[in-house]
Amino acid sequence: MLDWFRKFRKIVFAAILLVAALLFYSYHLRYRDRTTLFEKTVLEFTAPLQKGADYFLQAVAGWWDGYLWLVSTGEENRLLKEENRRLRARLQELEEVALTNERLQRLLEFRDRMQLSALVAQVFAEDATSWFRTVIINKGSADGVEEGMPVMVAEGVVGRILRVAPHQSRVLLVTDPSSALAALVQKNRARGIIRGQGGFLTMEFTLRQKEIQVGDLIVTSGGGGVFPGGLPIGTVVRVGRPSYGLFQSVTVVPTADLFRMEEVLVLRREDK
Amino acid sequence: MRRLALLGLLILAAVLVQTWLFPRLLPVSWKPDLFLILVIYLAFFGPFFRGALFCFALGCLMDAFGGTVLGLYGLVFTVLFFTARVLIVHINIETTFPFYYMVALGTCLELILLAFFVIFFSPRGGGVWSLVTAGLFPQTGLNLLAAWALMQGNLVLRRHVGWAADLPGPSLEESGI
Repeated sequence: MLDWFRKFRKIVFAAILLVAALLFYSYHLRYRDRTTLFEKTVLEFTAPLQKGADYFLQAVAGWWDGYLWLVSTGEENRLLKEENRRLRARLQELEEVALTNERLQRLLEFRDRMQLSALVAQVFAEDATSWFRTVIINKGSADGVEEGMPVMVAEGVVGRILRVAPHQSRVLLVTDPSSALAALVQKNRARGIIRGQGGFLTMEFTLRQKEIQVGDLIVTSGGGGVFPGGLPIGTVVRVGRPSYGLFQSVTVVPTADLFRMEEVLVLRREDK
Repeated sequence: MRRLALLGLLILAAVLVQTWLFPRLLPVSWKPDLFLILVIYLAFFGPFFRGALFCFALGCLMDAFGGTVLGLYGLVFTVLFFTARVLIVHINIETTFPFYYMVALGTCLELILLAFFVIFFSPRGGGVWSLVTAGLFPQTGLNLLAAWALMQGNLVLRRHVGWAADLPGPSLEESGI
């Protein structure tokens, strides 16, 4: 028996590990909407690293600029150039502040317009894989964020909170393949389900007799209990009506630029 | 102990590069899968038992850094590790070509496994298939490019840097460095 085990120990080990891995995945699939302790710990421990990397890159860029400047200029021009550089840096800083202010102002105006209580959060990291679409924000359960809360920018829907750690959260973007939300066409109230396809969205289960045109705005319907109604999701870029079948195929591009987000709004649950 | 510390540093660097640097550098949403390359590397040059457990742990870490259900990448990476181990038994791993070949094959297999486990185990996973089929070629190309860069780095480090001499990898003589 022992000899048999020794002979086939690699195969036995592989079989046990594969079954264990499958059970582990199946178990977590049942509780997919909860954040596990492991995920919380990983989020908490690596977020400072990712934020630190940002700071480090800026410092290195500054040091490199300074070094190049030192070796390429004479002592006589040093003070003038230094002042010039300082002023330019200050100007760039102010421009950045102005842009940030503009973005935040838009978010605040949007929040006031929607009459919702919301939390402003910064995006600082993205999904490690190429196949799923999530981002990490710098607000977590300590700030009142909970799983399932909707996330927006002034231009439209971003996604919903997927995992929450005390000071960071992961947001599932609407473009993620596992994302689905109830929606309707703004102009004629035709209903459907918006599904993520990676870089774009599709609107499914929209009856073929409903008139939908390129450029129509798609908004949330308020059904499903996550998003309030009337929030912009995207605009129609393609409509396909097959010769048979009940439904038409609608391709939608998100109104929000999900590639280049810096600040987002997390809508609080009590105001739904 | 030194190898373990090196591996830990490597993983930390891969995490930072994949979640923070690539999204800032690359204009598209595709990015090289450094964790997959590490799994193939372990399958080629790592120990069997510890390598398999390590790949499972690496996958779980990937799940935590991606928006996936905990255990999905754990399972996928474990299957990939064992598949690669079975396939490399009869090939000469002293040169670098089989490594690149396995990275390309591993990318395809990873996508098929991901699509299978997501679609068949999750009621909301249907959309992942279109994403995976659209991204197969760019992802394979990016992974091959990253694998080539990392393997060149491995060879140069082992040749010229003392502390990296005992890093596992293909034969230096065969690789011509």
